[in-house]
Amino acid sequence: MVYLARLVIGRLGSSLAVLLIAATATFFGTAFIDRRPESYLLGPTASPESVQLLHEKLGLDDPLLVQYLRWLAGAVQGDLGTSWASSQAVLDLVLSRLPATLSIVIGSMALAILVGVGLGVLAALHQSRATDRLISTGFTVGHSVPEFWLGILLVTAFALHWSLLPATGYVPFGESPTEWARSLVLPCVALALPVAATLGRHSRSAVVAQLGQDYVRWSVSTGLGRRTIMWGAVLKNALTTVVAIVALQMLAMLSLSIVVERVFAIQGMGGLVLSAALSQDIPVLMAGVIVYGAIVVVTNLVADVLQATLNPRLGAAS
Amino acid sequence: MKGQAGRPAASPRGRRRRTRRQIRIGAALLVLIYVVGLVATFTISSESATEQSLTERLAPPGRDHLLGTDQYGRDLLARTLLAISVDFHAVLLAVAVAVVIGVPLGVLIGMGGPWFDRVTMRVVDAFLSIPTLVVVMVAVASLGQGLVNTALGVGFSFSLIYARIARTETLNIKNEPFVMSARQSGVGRARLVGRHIMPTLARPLIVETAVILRAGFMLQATLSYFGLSVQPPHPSLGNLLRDAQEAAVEAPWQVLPAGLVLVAIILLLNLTSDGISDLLAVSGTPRRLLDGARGRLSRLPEVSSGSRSLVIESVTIQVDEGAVVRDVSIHLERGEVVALVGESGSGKTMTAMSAAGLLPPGAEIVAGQVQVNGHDLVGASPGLMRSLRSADVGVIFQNPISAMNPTWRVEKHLTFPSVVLRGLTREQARQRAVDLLGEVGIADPEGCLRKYPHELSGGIAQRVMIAAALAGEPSVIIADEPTSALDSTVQVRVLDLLLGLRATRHFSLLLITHSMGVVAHAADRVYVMYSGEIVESGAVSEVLGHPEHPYTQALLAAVPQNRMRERELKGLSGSVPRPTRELPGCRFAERCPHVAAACTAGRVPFVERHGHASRCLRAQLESDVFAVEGRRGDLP
Repeated sequence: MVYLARLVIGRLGSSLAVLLIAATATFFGTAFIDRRPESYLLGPTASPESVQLLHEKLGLDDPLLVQYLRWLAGAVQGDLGTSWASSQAVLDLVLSRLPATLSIVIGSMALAILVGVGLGVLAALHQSRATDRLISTGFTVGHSVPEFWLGILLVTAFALHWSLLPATGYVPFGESPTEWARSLVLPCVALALPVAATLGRHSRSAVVAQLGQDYVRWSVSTGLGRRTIMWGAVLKNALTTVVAIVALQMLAMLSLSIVVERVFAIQGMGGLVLSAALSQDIPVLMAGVIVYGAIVVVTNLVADVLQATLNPRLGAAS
Repeated sequence: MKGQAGRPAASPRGRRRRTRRQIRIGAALLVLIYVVGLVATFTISSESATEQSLTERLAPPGRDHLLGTDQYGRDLLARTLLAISVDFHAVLLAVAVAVVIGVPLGVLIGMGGPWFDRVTMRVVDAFLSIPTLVVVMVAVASLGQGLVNTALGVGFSFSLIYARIARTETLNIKNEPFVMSARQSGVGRARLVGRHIMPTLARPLIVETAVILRAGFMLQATLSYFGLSVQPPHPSLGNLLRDAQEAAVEAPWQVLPAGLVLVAIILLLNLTSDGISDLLAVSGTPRRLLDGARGRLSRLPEVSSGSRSLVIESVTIQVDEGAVVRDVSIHLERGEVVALVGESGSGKTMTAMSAAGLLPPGAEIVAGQVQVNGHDLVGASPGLMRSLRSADVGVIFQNPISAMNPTWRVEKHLTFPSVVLRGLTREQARQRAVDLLGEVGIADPEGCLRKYPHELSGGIAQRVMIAAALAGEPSVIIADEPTSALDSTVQVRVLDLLLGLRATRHFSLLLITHSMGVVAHAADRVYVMYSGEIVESGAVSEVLGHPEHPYTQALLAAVPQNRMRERELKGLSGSVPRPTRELPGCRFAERCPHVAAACTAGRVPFVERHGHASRCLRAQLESDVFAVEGRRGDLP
């Protein structure tokens, strides 16, 4: 337990560094663009005085470094600044959009793990037999279907044609849990399928790789049976690899979730970042980078802890 | 599909050929799609694909419009065909940008000092932990929209992946001896990069490019779908899909053409890149060790076993390429320590493992008999094999730590089989584990039970594995090089432990080794194996004192104490012929200092006199000479 705590604390520092670096790079990477929030906030007919006032309020006339340090000072206190496009607090914007995105991402990941890892293990158990070939082919095809095309297909079939599920939108859990669940089904399926295919391929390889290990031969030599070895020894070892793959897939899934949000017209983080990119709303863009980065970083942290718990050798190495 | 999906009987070569064909077909079809797209741009006027015609809105597929028209009355077929080359060009541009930025950046980081490396890699890694699409959004914010701008953004985001690979490879190559010496002899950095680093980089970069192309098409379609890349009304696959989604209520078929083209491109890229990584993957055939553990435990039938606990009789073992063990006969009397000695590749492990039913997948006993305590193993049911392994045969492997399950504590190695197979309660099994650990000389059994394999030294781990082998009270123990992976001081102690246990528990021990020192120290009798055959056998004192076969003599000469004889056997060069090779006569002939014409004329018989046997014409002639005095014959 002590080493787990040490692991978490050690990783936390580098995780925060990653977020800071990414946000900083976003700030300076977009430094040369023309910063004109007045076109959104004040409209084209704004007087030079009001523009001047706005620039002062947002501190846009200060040197870049000062602006950056001011942002940083706010960020450590939990203040991510004010949106240039809507003059709302960035943190409020993020908090209003985050639940939808997290619902979709967590739901899809759970579904992808269930389907992908399940089928991958099943395929490995029947290695080189018909079941395996069928599942593996399914993985290859599933891996090749763009999630937004799948989303459009699902909407067309289940929402527009059969009217079984809502085509678009997100219902907050607090409003109606059942509608919340119904609004999540199609986006989650569209997002989960490609990830499940990738997870499945890698899970299958992970189990197959374990099946060639020396300890399996030793287990066989003790007289233990195939199923006992599989469930009692192999799967737990393969799980370590699977956890790493799941964490890696989170990165891909977040990219895909932005698209799926758009396909299903869900007001999530993806839409926020997309409109911030189009309107050059730098504070919101930076917050988007941090939020998405944080999801990745937290996923990795959980994965590290899980791996260290599953395989004590990895825990000792870190 | 990573190293998989082959039919069970497929040879590695056959699989490689299939993989190559998969790559060729995949790449050829991709080029074909691109060429169709290119031809379309030269034959179809872009007006016909962009001009709106409200009278022909959403026409279903038909004579005038093979795929129908969209909600603006534009021909869907023309738009789909024109979209193909647009997407290809956008992706190729992005990948080109990625390579041009990423590869030099990576090489630069790799060539720079450690500090530069650490700082820049931190930044690269930070970017790589942000979802690609978010990075591209940031790029769009600063560069603006449009095909070229988004391609630049995508290219930048991919360039970090290239940089990472190029940097790793550069670091690796930089420390290769040939590059080090080139540097020392004053070869300039630029030449070093051009001559040594770039060519080596090509391979991993090609593999990665196949993966990146796939991601590129996905991203390009996504960005057009968002309206960030190709601007309407110009067609691209993403634009087509967005239009199709808008018209989905009235004309659901519209989502198909562009989507299927996209799926086809990505599927082909996947097949190609899977093929490439399969081809470069080190491991070929997946091992299926578990297949040997099928069947249910069964009660062993009563048989009379006699004085021999293990009999291997005229066994031939075959793999795909041919026979690896040829007509081998070995037996173990009860309580006897028998050594099976030979170089690696001589077939000694294969022979011994046949007695535990642990032949690797693909190897098969095609002739002869194996009996353990009177039970026939050849053709036995898997259940009988399992029962024998759980109660009659124990196996000790060469590398104890890798033979242990990394996620199991020592305790579970000792108790799990007892609980599952022998019906002990956990407490009983635990008590037994403590006793066994004491018996193998572990000072603190309770403490040891709580340890994981990686926390053990090699010597302790091997003692644990010996204890595990004893758990089933076997009458035969097969030890495959049990001390080779250990420190030399520990080797003797572990060997002595096995001998002591043999004295108290009366099992017979089949000791596989390549060391004549181990044979001399531990064994009662010895079998010498060479290239799949037994070439000499007998009591250890006999064989070591009066070796008959030149190979045995050479092995003995390799033992340090026998340095004096090394000069005589200098002729022993070359290597063991692969056991699968068919040779007409003596398999040692091509390395033998005494070889004569008769040696390669026909199979050399294995001739025994007073318990000492060998497979050498010269030795047989010599002893004939002693038997029939005065007739010397023409000795080879």
